[in-house]
Amino acid sequence: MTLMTNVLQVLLLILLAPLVRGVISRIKARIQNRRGASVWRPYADVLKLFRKQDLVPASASFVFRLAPMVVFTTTLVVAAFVPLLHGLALLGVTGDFVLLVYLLALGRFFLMLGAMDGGSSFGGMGASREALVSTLAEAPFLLALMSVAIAAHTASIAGMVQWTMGQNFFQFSAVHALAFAALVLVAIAETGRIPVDNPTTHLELTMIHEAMVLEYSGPSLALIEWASAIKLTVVMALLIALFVPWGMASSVSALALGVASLVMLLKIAALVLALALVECSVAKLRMYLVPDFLGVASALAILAVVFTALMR
Amino acid sequence: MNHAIFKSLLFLGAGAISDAAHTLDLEELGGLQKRMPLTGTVFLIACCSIVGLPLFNGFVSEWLTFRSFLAGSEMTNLSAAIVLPLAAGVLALIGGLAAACFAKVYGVGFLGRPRSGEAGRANEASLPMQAGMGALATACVVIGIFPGLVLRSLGALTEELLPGAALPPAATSLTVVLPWIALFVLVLVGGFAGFKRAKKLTATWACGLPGLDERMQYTSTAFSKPLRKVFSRVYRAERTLEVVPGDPPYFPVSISYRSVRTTSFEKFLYRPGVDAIVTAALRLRRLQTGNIQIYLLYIFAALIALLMFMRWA
Repeated sequence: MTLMTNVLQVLLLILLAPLVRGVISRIKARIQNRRGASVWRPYADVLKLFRKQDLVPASASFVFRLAPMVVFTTTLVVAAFVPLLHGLALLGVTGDFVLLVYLLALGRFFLMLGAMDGGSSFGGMGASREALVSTLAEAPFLLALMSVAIAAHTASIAGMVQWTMGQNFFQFSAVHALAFAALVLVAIAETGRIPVDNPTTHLELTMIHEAMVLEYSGPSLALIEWASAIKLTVVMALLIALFVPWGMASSVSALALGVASLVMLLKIAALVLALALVECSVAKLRMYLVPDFLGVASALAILAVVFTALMR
Repeated sequence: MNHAIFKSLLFLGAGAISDAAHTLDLEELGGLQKRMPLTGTVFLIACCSIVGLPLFNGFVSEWLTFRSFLAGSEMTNLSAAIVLPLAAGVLALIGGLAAACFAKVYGVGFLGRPRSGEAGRANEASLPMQAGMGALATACVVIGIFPGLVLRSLGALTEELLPGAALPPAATSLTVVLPWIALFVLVLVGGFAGFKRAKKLTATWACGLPGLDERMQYTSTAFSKPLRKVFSRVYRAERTLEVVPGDPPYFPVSISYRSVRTTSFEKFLYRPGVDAIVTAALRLRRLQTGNIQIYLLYIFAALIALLMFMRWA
């Protein structure tokens, strides 16, 4: 039963990810006084792309087609790390936060290579910018997770979540507040949302992620789009699981899981709304302001780690 | 040990490139993956290893280091408990920089189109070279997926040297989870590769204009430009831009751009030391006259000095 719940969690994350994306763009459209596309459109997009032909530049090597598959599979593995409905996950016990961060890095590394394989200037440009953002985002990401790991005395994601569940909400420590703030900033950079990157841009010169995938089409593009939707949802679920896990099922029964799913839906809806509001009210940062943005994240993460030692 | 494997592999790969393309300048390479499939693939494996990506051996070492930093937070010494976890942040930053660097090396050197005729005519390395690189690359992947093979024997060795030092249980969790992840990735990637047969070769998108050529690709200097700009305090670049205006002035006749990069730590940290040693050495050279009587005098003076030292010290 526990195993089934774990598998169910992963499937939920994978299958609901496009919906989360659809809802975000729908809310954004409403805020901007547009009607917006249906929330199911990301599913239609992915299905449409899977039926199309894969166009490959004549100069590209096998890396070009390998990259989307690596991106997709690593994102799937990461999805198996994150507890969603109860305090456990498929790989949540054996897999620790270092593995999680570096699996995401593996996907990103291959995406950068795939972009450079196209042989156009845009791919190289996107990869170069992604290299900048990811280099600066990695340290705060790891440090913020590490501060929680130190506080919980465990490195496994599930262990951290269970530890937080056992804490009283009103004893929410400074470590958590700082780590949460740092992780939110990193999450925005990791998933390529405004103000770091704009997923809906159509101007090549402002693109980061979009410039990297400019050369992709058909099933390859479908895999990349789906993977980035999963990544967004997984990062949200990770934030929820680490910092507000209360409401997750403590026992594996149909009733407890049902309640947990409802609570989880509400939490994700709250995050989605917050993200849409931020994206509508903030302009994209100039490229060379992004390091400052991530500098703030790093400072917060460093403070979080220092506080863990001071608050023992 | 992991470092020994992937660094040797990288050097062997570099040797194969220099042999095939007669240059090691990244700006002259490109598109080598198609010309040298095996060298390219093993070079990619080596790059993934050195960057410390999971499923390659570099990650195992990196993971162990991170876990030691985490364990450091439990120490009773307060400053150690603060500094050790923060060192993980430094390691992560270095890891990110390594990823940027090796994405550049492999991406510019092996992917895209050849940037020079030599690179376009490059041929695969000879069979013995291939065999050597292949063996090292296999070691990278095998240790990366089954780290237990090495960790167990290393653990036994540590126990021999430091009695009571056993492999922590956390390390065994990694040895369990990595093969599963590898299997999953392999099955899924294999599945996709089998499914996505239909493909069509096309030209790269050039904004609808014809004539995209290899000079329009991103160069390695351009690739690292954002990072150089962010860390501009370390890299003090000296740039000169000369534009010769034409008539009308909107279309310049020629533009020349030159950028010299020296790292500031080289200029301010190493240079003074090196300069001081060289000056001192030049001064001391006057002692060496080639005259044997002078040398005998040195020996005599040294003897007197030593005797006096022994007498009064």
